[in-house]
Amino acid sequence: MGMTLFWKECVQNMKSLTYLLYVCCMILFFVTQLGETTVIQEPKPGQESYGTTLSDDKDVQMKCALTDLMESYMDNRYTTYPLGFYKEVQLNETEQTTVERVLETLSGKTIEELKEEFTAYQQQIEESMIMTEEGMKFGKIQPFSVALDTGISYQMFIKEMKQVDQVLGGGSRFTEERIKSEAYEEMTYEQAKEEYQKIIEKDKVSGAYARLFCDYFGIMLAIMPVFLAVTRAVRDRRAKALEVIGSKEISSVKLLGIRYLAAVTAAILPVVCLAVFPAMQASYLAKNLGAKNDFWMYGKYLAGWLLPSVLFSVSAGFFFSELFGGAAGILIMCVYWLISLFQSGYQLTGTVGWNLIPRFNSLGKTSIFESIFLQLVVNRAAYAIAAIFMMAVTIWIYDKKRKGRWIRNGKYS
Amino acid sequence: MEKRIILKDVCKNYGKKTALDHISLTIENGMFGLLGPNGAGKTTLMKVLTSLQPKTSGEISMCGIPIEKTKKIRSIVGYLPQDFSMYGTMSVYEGMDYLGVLSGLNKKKRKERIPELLKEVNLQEYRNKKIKILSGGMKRRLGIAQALLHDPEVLIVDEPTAGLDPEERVRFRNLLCEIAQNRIVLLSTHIVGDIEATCEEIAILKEGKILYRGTVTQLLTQAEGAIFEAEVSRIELEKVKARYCVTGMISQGRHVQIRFVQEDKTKIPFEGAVRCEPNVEDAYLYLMHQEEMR
Repeated sequence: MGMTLFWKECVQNMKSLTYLLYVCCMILFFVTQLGETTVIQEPKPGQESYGTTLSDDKDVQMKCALTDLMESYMDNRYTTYPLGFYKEVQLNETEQTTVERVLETLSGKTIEELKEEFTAYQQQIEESMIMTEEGMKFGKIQPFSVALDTGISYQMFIKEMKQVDQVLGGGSRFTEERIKSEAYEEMTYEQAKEEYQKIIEKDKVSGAYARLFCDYFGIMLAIMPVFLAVTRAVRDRRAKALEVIGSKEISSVKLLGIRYLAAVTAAILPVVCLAVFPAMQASYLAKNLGAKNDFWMYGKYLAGWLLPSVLFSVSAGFFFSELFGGAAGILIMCVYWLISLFQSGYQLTGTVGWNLIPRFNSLGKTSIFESIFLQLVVNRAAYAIAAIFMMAVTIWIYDKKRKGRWIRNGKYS
Repeated sequence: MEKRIILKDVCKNYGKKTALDHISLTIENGMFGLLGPNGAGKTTLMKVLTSLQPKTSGEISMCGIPIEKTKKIRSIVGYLPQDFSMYGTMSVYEGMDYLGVLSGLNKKKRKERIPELLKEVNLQEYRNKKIKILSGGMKRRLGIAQALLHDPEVLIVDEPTAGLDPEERVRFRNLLCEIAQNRIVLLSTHIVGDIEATCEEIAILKEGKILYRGTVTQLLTQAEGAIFEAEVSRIELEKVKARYCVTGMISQGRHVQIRFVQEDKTKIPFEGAVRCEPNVEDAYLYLMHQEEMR
């Protein structure tokens, strides 16, 4: 009987207009965001660039932050994320003077000298521009950087930068945490080779692509399934079928449990179908690279990374609809989703914490993934447990209402 | 299993408001009518009996099962709520099939029961039509069919004829009588005609209390001698209405043929008034009038 009901619930979900729109959104998102594939290539000695890697060298960290500060100062345009939300800050003259003083202290140069260096760099860019048949191209020039004055300690640097962060109102790139997490340096051949080996051996190629897939779809699956859940949860009420269904023999646990599973299945199914294409592509690439491919890597990532997001958003849809009635769940989840999205707004690779949307917007970078793996497991497990708990409470509330408790003037709603 | 519903001193409160006030009733096999004005507590009683609402106090046993055993109660009760509806996008058959699954019927049983019931309620031609296109009467018939899916011992129907046209209403009453052959059918209504046409055993409910419990014949006997007929002018009508409880009126040009209640059965109320046989509506209104006089 359980399977029959599960099937009927799946059909009901999939026949709704909401589901059609849901599937369209997923396809559109896939085509626009994951339509093009970056091919993983084995690094060769003497290559122009091997990409960048996060640096744990304090000198590099300070140099990167100081250079960023100079560039922002020149444009008087500073990007901050107070409470996780993007904000562009423009400083007044007095505040810019504070930044000038910090720049002078940390670089050991006057602001005029720094400005001159920056103007010279811009001029260099302009001069390196070459018009070709394919359009404008830039010649190879050294990227702009501000050198640190000798004798500046890390503690002193952090102290000075803290003043800048205060002037900017907090949440800037100049906090100690972000100074550490946003210092990138060019990879050496050896580093690139090591990264490549990890992609081949540990990720079996597919894993690297699956992470990127999960990063993108993690954003969608943290919010979209809530629409399906709310549509299902309010259908009985809208059809005025609450009482007739409530009077049937089936237990509340079985009824809502099956509805929940059906909604989760309906929500994840289009993503599973869409994942087949990149999984096949990754298999092909692995074969070309001579690597041993694991086709089921996508399945593992989907189950471990994306399924908890679906479980959580579907639960939230059912829970808030049962608690407040109507589409309150959508509003609440939209707010939570926005907060989650902006929390990791400035760092898109390796942000996990307790965020509903863990980010890993990079292809490869297996070392970073290894360093956050445990965090990710804890995060996903926590959301899966929270989802099951929320659903258990939903069933409990539904059962109470079904037996006439917590209802107003005898109206079952 | 004993086919009997027993209510002992049942009360139901919504906060400070009393919806059911010490109700004691025994309902036997066959049709049983629950009559009362709007707001009398009929729907509350129906919901308590279907375990959709808890009683505040008292005892209820349905065919020997205490009302607290929700799952068992739901397996023996079929319920047609006042405003029955189902997912409009489902076909009649799909809707029945879905509710059949919720009633715990296996595929074989559903395949047998659904066409049988759709035939019984005369909806077999509509089995593939969407529920949303059904008329009010058809929806009620579908409601009855779904309530009978699991062949319940007790069928509870709440205001099933409200809003139906006269033809549908008669058809529906006949259907209920057929169904009541081998089960308890509890019909709640504020339409006296429904009771008159279908029930012998009835209870009359007002403000949560039982005003009357007995047969229709006994109810009629109570009102015997107190119902009069007269032909009055339209000017006189207002005076009569102010003094007596008028139970029926038929307009006849400048005059009106009225039926009314006279408390004192020994006197003739006024010249031209003639004592007549009470019908169920007269008897019901007589009872209500007596209650108001108290």
